[in-house]
Amino acid sequence: MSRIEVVSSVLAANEAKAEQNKARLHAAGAVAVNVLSAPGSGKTTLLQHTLTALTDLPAAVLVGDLQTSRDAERLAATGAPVVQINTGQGCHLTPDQVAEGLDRLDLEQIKLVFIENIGNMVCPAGVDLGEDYRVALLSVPEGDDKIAKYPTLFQAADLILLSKVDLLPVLPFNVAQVEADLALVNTRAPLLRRSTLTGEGMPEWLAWLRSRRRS
Amino acid sequence: MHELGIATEIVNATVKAAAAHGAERVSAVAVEVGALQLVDVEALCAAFAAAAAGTLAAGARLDVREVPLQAVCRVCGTTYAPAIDDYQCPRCHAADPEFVAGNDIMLMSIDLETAEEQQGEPH
Repeated sequence: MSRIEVVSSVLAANEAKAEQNKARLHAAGAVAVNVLSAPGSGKTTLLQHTLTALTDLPAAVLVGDLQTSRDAERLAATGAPVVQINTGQGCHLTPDQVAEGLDRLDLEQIKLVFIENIGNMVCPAGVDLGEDYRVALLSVPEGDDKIAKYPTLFQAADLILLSKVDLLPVLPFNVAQVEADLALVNTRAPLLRRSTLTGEGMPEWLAWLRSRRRS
Repeated sequence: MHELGIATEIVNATVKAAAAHGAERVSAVAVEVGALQLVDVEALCAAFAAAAAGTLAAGARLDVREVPLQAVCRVCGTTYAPAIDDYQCPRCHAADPEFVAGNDIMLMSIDLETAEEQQGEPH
């Protein structure tokens, strides 16, 4: 028996691919935003309304789901370029899948690429896809304990959207608890309250996106 | 359940290194898994056994050492050991850590058997 010392990162290959994605996006002058949350938090609805409102910033979406192209159909109705990525059993998008998705976009025409990750609060958090920014959604119906339960998702976020805040008057949800939990895991990312129904937070969200634009 | 993807990467790296050393069989693989990767060790071992089937690493033992988190505060520069659910800096109370340990998965060593050794041993 002989032992060989290897001491190399198992994740290095993925990280190298993520760096390639990032370099490619930068070369095209595009910014990528990875959007993460549980299933049903409102990622697709957020992006539908964002694509419609963001007429001054050409945007595209790579949308990941285990199955179906339903999200891509919803998003394509806005007129934006959309690529559906089906991962089958895969619990998060991989840098390879994102690279294949980018192959199907005309990056020269695009300034902003949204990557709508698989709805999952655990696995996508640890996987760099080559994005510039991460946005995490927490919707009011999910409950005010989710930041404490899934700290890694919110730790890595650059912006946290508290979505469906129009439901605050009718659901037992303690915003102060969310803020207290966030103070333990991420004091860098702003927490922005938003609602698709009332439009609350939408101007601030669009301003945040516009200020990320690569000049 | 992202353990299968990680196990597949471990098997790929193992087989590559073992083949480069002319090994016929791998008997054990040692890895270090960072706490931030939220890996379930039992699930990782089961996934490794499945991913290794039919390769040089078939039947190999997977030794997993868990590595706790270590961070440097991006605000004040303090080095500290955060809990998995509380990243607050003990000095300035910012939760803005740069993780310097516990965020990777490392292949550390591989135990190999060469063809001659295999012939000499009953198993």
